[in-house]
Amino acid sequence: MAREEGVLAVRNLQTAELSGWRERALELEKEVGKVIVGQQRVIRLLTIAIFARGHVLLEGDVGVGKTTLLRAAARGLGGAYERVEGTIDLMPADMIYHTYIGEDGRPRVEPGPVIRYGGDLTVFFFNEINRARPQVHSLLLRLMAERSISAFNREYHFPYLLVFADRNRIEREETFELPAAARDRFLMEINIATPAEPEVRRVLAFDPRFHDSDRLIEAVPSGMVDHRELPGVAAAIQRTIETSPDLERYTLDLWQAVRAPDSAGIEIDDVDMQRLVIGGASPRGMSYLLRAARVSAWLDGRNMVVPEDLRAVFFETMAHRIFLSPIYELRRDAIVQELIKQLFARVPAP
Amino acid sequence: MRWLLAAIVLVLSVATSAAARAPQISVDEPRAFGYFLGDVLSRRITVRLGAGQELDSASLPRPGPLNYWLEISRVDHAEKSEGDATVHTLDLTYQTFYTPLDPRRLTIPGVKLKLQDDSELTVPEFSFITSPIRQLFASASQSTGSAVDLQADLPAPRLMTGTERTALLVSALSALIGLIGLAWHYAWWPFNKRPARPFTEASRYLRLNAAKLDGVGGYRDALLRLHRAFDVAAGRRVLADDVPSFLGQHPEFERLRSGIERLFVASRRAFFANDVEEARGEMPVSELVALSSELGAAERRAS
Repeated sequence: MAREEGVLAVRNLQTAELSGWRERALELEKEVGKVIVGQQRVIRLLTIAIFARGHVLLEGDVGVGKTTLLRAAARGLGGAYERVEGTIDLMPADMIYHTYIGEDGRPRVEPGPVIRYGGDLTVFFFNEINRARPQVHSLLLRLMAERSISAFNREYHFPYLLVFADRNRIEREETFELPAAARDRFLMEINIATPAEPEVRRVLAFDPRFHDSDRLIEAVPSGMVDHRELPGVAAAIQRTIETSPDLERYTLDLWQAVRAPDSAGIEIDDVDMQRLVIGGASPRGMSYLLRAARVSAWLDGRNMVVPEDLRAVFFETMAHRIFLSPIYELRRDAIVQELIKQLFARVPAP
Repeated sequence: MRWLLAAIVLVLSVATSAAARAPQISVDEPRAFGYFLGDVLSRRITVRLGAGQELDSASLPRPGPLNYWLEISRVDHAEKSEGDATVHTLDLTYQTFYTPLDPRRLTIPGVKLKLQDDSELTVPEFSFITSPIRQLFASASQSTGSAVDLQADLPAPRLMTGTERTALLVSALSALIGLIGLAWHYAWWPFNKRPARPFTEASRYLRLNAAKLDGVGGYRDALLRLHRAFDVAAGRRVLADDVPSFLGQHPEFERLRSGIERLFVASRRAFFANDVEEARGEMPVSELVALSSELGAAERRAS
């Protein structure tokens, strides 16, 4: 039923309304930007993900504001919000069912965090996702891909669901690396670094506003964007923003160059380019890339996708889908960054 | 043997008539037979003069023809003193051009040498036998019909050129090495590493093909040429958003900023909005050509 509503919404949405939605998207970006300073690019990417209806994985150092950013964005979106902490003893059932002993001494089973709000669940925030076990990651696969789950002998659908997850890159003990299939279902994997500008660092350290994250997040107006209309808006964006044959060719060239970097003339020091990439850059990844690029073009006020849009979102949407030969995995970050940098330096556009 | 004989005679005569101090003359003659046309005869005349006697050098024979068949081809005169005496050695080289029909005796006339005191010394004449080099009546050659059978020419002797060849190779090699060194020193080609001139090339292409580039496909082609020129100049792909950073790195094009920005707007419209016609209206080919030649000029000024 919810899907039909989405289709209807698309039909009713006029282009004029889309530009109104763009105003709201920029407004949301601005409000979140007041809370998280010095991370304009990350916030822009997060906005793109929201309007592309994609799940986001944030990673970075401890204490750079990953959780605060996601909470602020969730508050701006409105709708039901649920949060789960990844721990080593968390089991899939804990996310679906809540079991306890009632006052009368009988065991009770009630809906857990994922299905408590039913279809209204908008943001499912998974903190420290790499601390959860692989069983939990598998549960997420279906939740993210199909936005549905089976519990109490029925199907639950979550048409507005966005999964936000974060993990820190520092600790490796008692953590579980996300399986490739799960990572492939995230639209973006965004890396948050400590802001480099001295002024931003000074403000973050000395301005008391940033000391209390709860009050900070309350500064974001709740429900700036109506989460119930998001699927319709997202579909309208995908339908309205055009891609030309030249851009399609460019995208395919990029795809080919990622899979066979040596044929595109990409060279990285100390790397055998013929053996570097063993797989990845899946068709799903490419379709995600185009989805994100369309939203990026829309946020820039264009009705066509240009190579700059692809470049703006390429690293975050594609880097985690490129699988390297095992001997290069340890140097992965540096290699993939250089690979994508050279990719855009070498593949001709238009 | 003859030398020995002459020496003994000389010694004896000196010993017996030392008081006379008369000039003494001896001639060392060549063989007196077996000469052919063009052969050379050498006579050595030795004159020993006592003290106070001097040879009149004007009386020495000179090179040149003596008669119609004989010629003095060379005269060598040397003199040295031995005690009081002076010994003159005169080497006369004769060449005969006589063509005898049968073996025949010919005579080289004698030579009169004068002394300063007007006395004369006579070098005796010398006769020799010369022979024809072919028979008198040659049998007619059947093959050529000529009355004379000419001997075949000698094959040309082979010259040994190995040394010259080695020397040529060595010098050519050293010249080449020297040239390479010079080219490197003066940064001539191929050591010049002159920066490429992509805009100049693009401008040349656009100018030469301006008529061809007027259609839709041609317009795209012209834009692509300019894009590739920007790519080469920047060393990476330049997108519309990269124009400010490109101009930051290449301030020589700063003057053309508005034109470059318009170019990228037109290109974006042509390639990504599927609206080549509008793009052509915004920036026709003629303006592309003008912009490219300005870019080329700026590039040449900078390099």
